[in-house]
Amino acid sequence: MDKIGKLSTITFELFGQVITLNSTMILMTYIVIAFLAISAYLATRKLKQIPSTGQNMFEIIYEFIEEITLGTLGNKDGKSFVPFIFTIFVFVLAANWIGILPHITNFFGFIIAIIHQLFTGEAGQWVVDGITKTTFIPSQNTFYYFLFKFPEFQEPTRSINTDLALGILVFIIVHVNSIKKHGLLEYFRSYMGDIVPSKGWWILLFPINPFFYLNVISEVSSVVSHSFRLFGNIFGGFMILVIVSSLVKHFLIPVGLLAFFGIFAGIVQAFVFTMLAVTYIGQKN
Amino acid sequence: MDTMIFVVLGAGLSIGLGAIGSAIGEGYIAMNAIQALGRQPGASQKILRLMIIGQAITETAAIFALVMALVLLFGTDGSGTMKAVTYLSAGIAIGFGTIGSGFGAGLPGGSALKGMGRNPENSDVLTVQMIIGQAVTQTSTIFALTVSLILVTLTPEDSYVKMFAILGGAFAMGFGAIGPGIGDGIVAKNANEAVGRSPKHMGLLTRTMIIGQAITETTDIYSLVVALILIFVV
Amino acid sequence: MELVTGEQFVKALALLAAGIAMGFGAVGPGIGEGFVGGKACEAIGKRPDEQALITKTMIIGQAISETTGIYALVVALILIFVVGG
Repeated sequence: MDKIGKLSTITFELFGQVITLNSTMILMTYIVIAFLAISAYLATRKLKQIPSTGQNMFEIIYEFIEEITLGTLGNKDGKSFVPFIFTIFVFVLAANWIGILPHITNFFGFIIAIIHQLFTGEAGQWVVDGITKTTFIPSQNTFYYFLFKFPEFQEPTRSINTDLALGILVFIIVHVNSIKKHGLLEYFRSYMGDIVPSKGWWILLFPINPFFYLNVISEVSSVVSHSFRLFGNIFGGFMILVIVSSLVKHFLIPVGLLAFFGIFAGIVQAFVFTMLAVTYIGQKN
Repeated sequence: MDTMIFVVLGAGLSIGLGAIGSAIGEGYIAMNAIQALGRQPGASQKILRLMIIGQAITETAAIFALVMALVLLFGTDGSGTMKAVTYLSAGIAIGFGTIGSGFGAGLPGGSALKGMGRNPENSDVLTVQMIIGQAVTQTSTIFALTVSLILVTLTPEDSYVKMFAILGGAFAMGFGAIGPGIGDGIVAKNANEAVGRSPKHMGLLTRTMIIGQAITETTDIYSLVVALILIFVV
Repeated sequence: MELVTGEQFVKALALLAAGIAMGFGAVGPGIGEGFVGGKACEAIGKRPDEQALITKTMIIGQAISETTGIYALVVALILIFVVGG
């Protein structure tokens, strides 16, 4: 339970403002980006008519995304959005799934430390606490101690900052696309509703038009619901996993929960996030 | 004030209210299972299996409430008025929060069994569709559980205003989870009925169902946001 | 705990009211959007060729059903930040 609320942060000052960065989440985001870039490079290096496993995986995802994008936006408009939507889907999916990886540096560190301990007896000490609980505390003087300092894998989407950034990115794309397509005046008019006339100079009456404010609020709250949906599901799954694991002493049940919250909820939420992004683009297109 | 009184009250509210929804949902599944058995007595094995899987997932909401009640009874050691209020609030949030998705998860289970009564050949398709629908329906319970776990671990500042803010956050999340939970269940119910009629469109229907459920949960997310603001910002 | 002033009392009740407003305000839209989504699934099951149109209608219908939920959110935020802030 002591994992909750522990953050490793970097704090610095910029233009008189104190800025705090969550260093673990930044590291995890870059790990996801690096993984995606490398695997995409390897999969597309030698494209073949009969695809290899990696190429096949990417093709399946790409065709699925292409189908839903073109189905919602139409063949003509949808084409240019497919790469963006694909990137969003793959990034959110990889970000949701990274949390199911075990804490691998710690694991190797312990193996090295215990072998070292068996031969020299200087790698650390055994702490016996009761009958069943024995822990090994590695010494800080060994050259491989840096292995214990790596954080465990955490979903970047567990932090609201990542989700809000993605939500705002989609919001900007939706509205810039809409302005580009319809022009600024027509875009502005779409906030006016039908009851108060909004043709010609009537549009200047927007401060007394209640529908204007309601539409603006509903646009802004769509960003909130879009990003908090992802955040709530991933963060909630993590909280439940940690608390239930500590209640059952990490015995058997966490595996099932990890399968549900890690794999199933991860893919469902990635799909929902992507599909809603397509829908928002389609509504304003 | 003795903190223990509020811990016990919170645990009682948690499991007492949390059992309502799941109980109704499971009853609904069993009712449809019996009707399906009346139509297709030959497929009793498959119908029984689907019923048990459906009821097990519907139980999730009540199990979350039980976990929360156990955490409150055995995992809490705070004292003082503010901690007492957070414990009571945790019980309120999870107790009311599980009613909706407990009942909601029963609806797709029932309609999957209706589909079995129509044609037991579709057993596999219906099972998968039912599990996905029920799993997504649990979202509102997961939000409620998250908020009440935050409340249990929280140590708030000692102020009169904060006390009511925390209570307000619990009510927002608890009541806010009822409607979306039931609504998600209704979406999944109709999707399962459609899959029972035309199993070959399952992929399309699953996709539409997940989108429909995701949008249905929007008000639940507003409740989560308001609850988090009340707990952390105020 | 110190004595409670009238201003604090108003703030405290405003925050409680914000919670109750959002909580009850979310019930109706949740169920209503569920009906919309459910009927859309039923319609797609009957006429899968029209799925683009049906999905579009479903999303618009749900967005409008959600309006009262957004009102509840706005009222709750006003209570928190204007009255209780």
